[in-house]
Amino acid sequence: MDIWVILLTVAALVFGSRFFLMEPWLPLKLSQNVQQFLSFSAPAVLTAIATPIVFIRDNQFSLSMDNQYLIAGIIVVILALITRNTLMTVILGMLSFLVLKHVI
Amino acid sequence: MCQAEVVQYSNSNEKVRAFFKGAAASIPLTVAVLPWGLLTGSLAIEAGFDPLQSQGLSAIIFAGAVQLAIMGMIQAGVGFGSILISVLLITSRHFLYSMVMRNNISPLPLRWRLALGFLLTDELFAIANPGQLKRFDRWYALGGGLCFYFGWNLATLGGIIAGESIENLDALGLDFAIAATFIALVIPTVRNASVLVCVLTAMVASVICEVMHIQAGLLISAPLAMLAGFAYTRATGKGEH
Repeated sequence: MDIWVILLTVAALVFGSRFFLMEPWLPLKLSQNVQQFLSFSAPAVLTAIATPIVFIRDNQFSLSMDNQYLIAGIIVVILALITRNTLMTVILGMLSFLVLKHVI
Repeated sequence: MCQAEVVQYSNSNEKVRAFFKGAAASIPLTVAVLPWGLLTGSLAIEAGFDPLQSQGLSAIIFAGAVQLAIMGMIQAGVGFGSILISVLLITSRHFLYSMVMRNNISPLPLRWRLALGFLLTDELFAIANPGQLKRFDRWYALGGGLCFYFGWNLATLGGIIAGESIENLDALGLDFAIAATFIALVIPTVRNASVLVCVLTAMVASVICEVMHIQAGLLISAPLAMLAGFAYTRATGKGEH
């Protein structure tokens, strides 16, 4: 099968999943309850993507001090609480991670 | 829950300012994803795609997880139907994002819906969702989305040029950048107990799914966490926005 056919079909599918439910002609009325449920989507999804990166090492749950991801993750949480600045938190967090990983 | 407010512009200067504000907001996320763009480009070449196809993956699909999955599947000779089912599974979280953004984006003209729909990645959703952005601004969203699009595509191009000489990123530990960015975005949104319950549920559920090797565990952990936050709000009558 031609690679371009696959690429374009997949692109259409991905685009559709991002675009379709925002179309105004769609008779989709979101009730107050549904809206309140949906208001939790950002923290839910972002946390569910980030947490395994921090806690899972080699397919295993790791609470050890040797897990640099965990230590740096805690540092990022503290930085975020103190600075309230995303860019600053990410830069300082990455720096502390690289120091933990390659220097210490 | 606030209804969508429409930002009115008195002149084009404000649009430009909003555009660059959005671009600035997405810079940490763009930087964090550059190594992954490099990896995606180099893996595409390694998987046997020609340079144009490799760039096309990022330019027209524009979804890292989907790109990595279909590269592996095409290389392994997996059938077309199976590829589409896997893609649907991975891309399904975008249905959630577009439903959340519906109030803000559906009143816009078609060209805006097409553009912002195309650009609606995890990252754009992270900076432009109603919890993050009190008043939705289309120019802000466009600036953020385009900045991320160009960053992702430039990184892919870099990976294509570097070809197979890119080192294993897991060994370098650059995957931490994504985690750091998402943590930095989530922490300020934890303003009440309901969001905290949601976040803690997401942590536990996502780790359990990962340990149990559940495919697309996000489809279980994210709705579960949303339900937990919602149920807590209902039970206590608190956490109104």
